[in-house]
Amino acid sequence: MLKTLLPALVIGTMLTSPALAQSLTVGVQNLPAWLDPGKDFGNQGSQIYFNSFDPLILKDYSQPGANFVPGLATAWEQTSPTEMVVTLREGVKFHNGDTMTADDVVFSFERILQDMTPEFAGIHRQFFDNFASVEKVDERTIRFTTKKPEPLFEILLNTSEASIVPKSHIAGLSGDPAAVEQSDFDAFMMAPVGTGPYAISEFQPGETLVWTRFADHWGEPAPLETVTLRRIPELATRVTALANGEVDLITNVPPDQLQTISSNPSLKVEGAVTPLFHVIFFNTENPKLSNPKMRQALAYAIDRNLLNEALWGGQAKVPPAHTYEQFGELYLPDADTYSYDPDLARQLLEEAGYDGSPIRFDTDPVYYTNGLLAAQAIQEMWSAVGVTTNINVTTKWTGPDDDLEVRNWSNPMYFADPAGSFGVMWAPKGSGSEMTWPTDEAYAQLWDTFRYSTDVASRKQAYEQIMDVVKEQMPVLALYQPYESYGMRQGVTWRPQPGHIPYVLDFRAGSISLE
Amino acid sequence: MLDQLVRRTLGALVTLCVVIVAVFFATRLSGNAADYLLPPGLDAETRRMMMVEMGLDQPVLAQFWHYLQGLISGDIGISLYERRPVFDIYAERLPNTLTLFGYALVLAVVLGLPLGLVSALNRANAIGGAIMSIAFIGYATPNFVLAIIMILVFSFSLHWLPSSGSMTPLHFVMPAIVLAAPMLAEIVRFTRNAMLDVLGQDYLRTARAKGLPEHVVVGKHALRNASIPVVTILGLQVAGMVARVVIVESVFATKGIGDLVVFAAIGRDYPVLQFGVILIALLVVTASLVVDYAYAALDPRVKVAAS
Repeated sequence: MLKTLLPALVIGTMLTSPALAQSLTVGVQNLPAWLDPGKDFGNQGSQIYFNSFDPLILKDYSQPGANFVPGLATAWEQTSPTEMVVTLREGVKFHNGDTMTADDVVFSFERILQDMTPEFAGIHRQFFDNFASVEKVDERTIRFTTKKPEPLFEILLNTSEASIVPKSHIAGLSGDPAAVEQSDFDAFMMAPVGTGPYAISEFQPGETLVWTRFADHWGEPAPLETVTLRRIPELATRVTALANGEVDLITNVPPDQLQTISSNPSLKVEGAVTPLFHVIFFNTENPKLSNPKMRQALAYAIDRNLLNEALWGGQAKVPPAHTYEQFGELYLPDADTYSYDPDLARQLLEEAGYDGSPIRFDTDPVYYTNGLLAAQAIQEMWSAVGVTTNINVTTKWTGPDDDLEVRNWSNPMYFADPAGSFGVMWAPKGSGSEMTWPTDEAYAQLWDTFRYSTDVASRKQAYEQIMDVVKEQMPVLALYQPYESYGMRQGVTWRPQPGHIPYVLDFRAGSISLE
Repeated sequence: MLDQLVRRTLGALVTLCVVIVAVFFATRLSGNAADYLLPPGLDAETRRMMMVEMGLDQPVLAQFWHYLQGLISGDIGISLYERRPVFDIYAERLPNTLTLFGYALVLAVVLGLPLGLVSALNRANAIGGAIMSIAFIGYATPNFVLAIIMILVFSFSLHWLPSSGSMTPLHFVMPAIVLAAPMLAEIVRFTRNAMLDVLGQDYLRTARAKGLPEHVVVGKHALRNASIPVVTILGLQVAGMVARVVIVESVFATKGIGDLVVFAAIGRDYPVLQFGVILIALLVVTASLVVDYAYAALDPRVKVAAS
């Protein structure tokens, strides 16, 4: 019985192999529970949006710099420091067949600027705080107005949060078809519609997503007929699914599994440094750490290059400050905000009057790749300068807790400017500053100079001064940009593009090919 | 008899009511959902607004009242994480778990009873010894170890079976075997022991003495009496399967409720977790009830004692 069954199973497995035709199956570690680019800045959603949605302005994602190209807008002009006029592309179709109108564009921003749900309100604060209004000038022209001078118009209109969605489709999803209600957005999250080269034809929250080539896409057609994303949370299962030919590509391969994949002749590994920092941050309001010298000492005691060698095989990138190559002219490759100096650390500990009481270091057991290992290594490094550490492993987000001392976190690059990474967390009203680092009026003024100056030189100068404040105050230490690896079968030509925010699975024309 | 079963049924209902109350407070005591559910990068104001939106700013007793009202009117709430009705989520996933349970139960019973029987009848020779050795190994191997070994052998090396998912019946082969393994081993052991016990009884000698063919002696007189402890094991194993299905579904990426409940527990998604616990309690309580009824059907003494 078993002998006759097995060959049948083998044939069955071969028939279901995804290698045929221009289709791709991806085993992902996680999938979001809902989808709406305007509501979401999370790492799970960022995998998805780029293939299905377009912002007004796109860019050349094959390089890290800001090389903007037309998206749903064909032209744009900053007519004054606080005003941007955008000309819309004609004949753009949404996946449901609607033609994009100026009203859709205005609505896509108004839902954020008018705080239509708490999530939109959050994106409003973190991305579009400076935006005052979005108006339709005529059927092809949109005018954006800001409160203060806006140096980041192009960058902000390029974000995935600024993607364009169909107004009348959304309004018609539930209740009164003419009115936009909360329940319309709830329904849209389950069956999102955009203008990108792939339509989302099937979405089971957190489990499965199927993209189908959208024939009426305005730009270059999608290279693949279908793409299926399957959530496979267990690493061993994900690697096996790849080796077994059940999937063509897998995400989130940690450094210690790279050998398993690359030693298989039919598989290969691709990877890139991710524009995201693993950081540790200090609760400056906790009496144990309220002395800046104490925080500086702990930062100086960490040998980040050794962490990189030991945990990432040297493939991660250790930054000199809270700065990314993607910032272009604002990038600070020569800064000395963060450095390793154990002797100075010992001296600072003495000056701060450290009494030997243990420091509590909070970390999630698995959320950040190598997060717990890094915590244990840091415990040893601190021990070398005389600081005892208790590692507190918890799945709870302890960031806002009063008794927080130190914990790990990630600071992703939400858009390619210091305002879009450092700022989201550590501006005067950033989410990190609100938790652990109350800042003063001088810092707020410095931040405003950086954020709203329209010439690059003054912005860069202010950015350097902000990094000096960070060096002095040490609210946060950027450890490294992790190296994110993907496993795939030999016939797949794909790699993460350097112009993207973290985790984007870019399957647009030019980014992927199959044999 | 009726008396006894009515009492059992009432007991089951009381158990369920206790679970319904306890699960609400236990989930709240396990921590604030916002600390586990919302993305770490969220600013304080958005966080506060999300709490209002999810109803978590209300006093606990008000939330409890709302929860009871919902249960009575059949509205089991909206998932805090997925933002859609809990009912829809379970409707998507429950069929996979039930399929898996079904396969595992059938596998365990259909293989377990004959194997136990054979090993009892061959207790003195190598066949019996071999069956019992395999049963002990099956019983002693942790299911996640068995799962990973099976994946490595049948998927990674031999490429015979898909390693993950729930798309075709083939995808259920390995999860069902892993889920069934400890129960299969239990059934083999208990069937064997019960049979050995029964085979030595006087009434079997009587049955043989009156000239009944051996298959009737074993199949009717012995097996029916031996099946009572086996039914007990089945009832207990259903509860064990609930615990194991969590690991099995996670390893094989089966979209079922075990995986869902664990995810909800880690993320403190109260509505999903509450309903999951109630559903599992319902399953276990029902299984015990079915076992009680089965006793009555199998063993006339239960009826006599009850009346």
